[in-house]
Amino acid sequence: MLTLSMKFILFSGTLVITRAVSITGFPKSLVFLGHENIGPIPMPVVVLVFMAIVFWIFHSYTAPGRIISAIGVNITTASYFGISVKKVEIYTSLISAVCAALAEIVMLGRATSGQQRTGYGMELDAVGAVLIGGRSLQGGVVTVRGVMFSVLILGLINNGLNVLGVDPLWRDAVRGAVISFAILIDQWERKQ
Amino acid sequence: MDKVVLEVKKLSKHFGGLKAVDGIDFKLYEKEIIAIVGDNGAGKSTLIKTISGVYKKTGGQIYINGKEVDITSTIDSRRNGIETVYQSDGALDCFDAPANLFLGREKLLDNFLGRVFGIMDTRYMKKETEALLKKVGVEVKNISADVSDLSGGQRQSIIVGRAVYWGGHILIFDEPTNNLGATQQRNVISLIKRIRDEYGVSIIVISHNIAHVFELVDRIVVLKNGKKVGERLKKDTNPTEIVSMITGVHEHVVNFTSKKF
Repeated sequence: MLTLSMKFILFSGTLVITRAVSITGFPKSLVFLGHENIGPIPMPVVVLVFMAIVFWIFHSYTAPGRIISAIGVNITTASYFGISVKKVEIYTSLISAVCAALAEIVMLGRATSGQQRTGYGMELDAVGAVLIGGRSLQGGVVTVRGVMFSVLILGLINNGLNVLGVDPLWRDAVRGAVISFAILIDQWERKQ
Repeated sequence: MDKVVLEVKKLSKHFGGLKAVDGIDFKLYEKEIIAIVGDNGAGKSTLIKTISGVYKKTGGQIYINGKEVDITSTIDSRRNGIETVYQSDGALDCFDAPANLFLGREKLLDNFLGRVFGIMDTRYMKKETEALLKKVGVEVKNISADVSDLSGGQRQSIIVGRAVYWGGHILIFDEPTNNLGATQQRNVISLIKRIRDEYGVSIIVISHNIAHVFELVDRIVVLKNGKKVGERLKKDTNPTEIVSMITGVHEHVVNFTSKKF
């Protein structure tokens, strides 16, 4: 709930600061992550692959990565093992915030202009990707590979709707339906 | 057997108005195994969770080797040599044995990668786990299998082994034989005895299985409604007396064969 209200406060804040006017004319050093290519490969793909590799190593081979997974698997056991759950949660939020900031820089580069509504509603994609690629919203093991595949699936759905010429106004409804379906399957599996 | 390793004085843990543990005293001697028994809700689990630092005590003192210690977290209790095996949530199911053994105390690579990026030394952890399992006499075919794929006995042995591995000199077991098959119960009981003999540690066992208690321990502390109602050396008592202390009902009071009922 606090997260949701914070979102509104910050969104309103950006509107106030920018007076709801989009900003253009960013330096090249800022937009190159979303705008440039390395050979035939667009920069956003490079960023995605790089981050995936970093997090795969973090998740599978480092002690902090393992401790974060442990809390996801069973928070009670983790605290019995002398892990300070609160501290880890704060660090995890920090990592998540840094990733969101990076994503925002990439988006900025793609549009080469600062729009206040960029990324609005994308939190559903983020949560959906974890849900489809992993196990559950209530915690569990999520693999980087799984999340990468589900990001790909969600991207394909978005793109497919474009190619099929589906009315863009329907797009959010389809996305929501796909993610709701994943939640329903998760709940059903839990009951088994 | 006459050195006191752990002494608890007037220990209390209240949850609001509920006095889950209310002024309990007991001593644990070196190389001794004691049992804390009592009915459901007698305060057994709360008592050991307070000693292990899961809960903060409301009042009273805890002494280790004669020195008063302040235990406010699970890390504090470990630092004082207390290793606890909990009744449930003792292991992470979708992690393998080495990950469970080292969780929260992962061994890092002894180089730049380990110090800066926190990369774990998985080979070392695997080797140590294999050595430990051999020592406690457990055979696990595939050490990289998730703990959930192991038998209850193997799983429990890993948890028990972990307590020894980290050098605790006071081990606490909460219902160590619960949910195990008969053979595995046997194995865990003999493992606990062997640990005491080989490592010279002191052990507190919580159990409601009176038969296991009599097989395993030297002394029995009985709790009822958060209070200690008595303690007996095993050689001075019998299961009937302990059960009547637990229930607070003496045999001659309730006589089901009596015609009066």
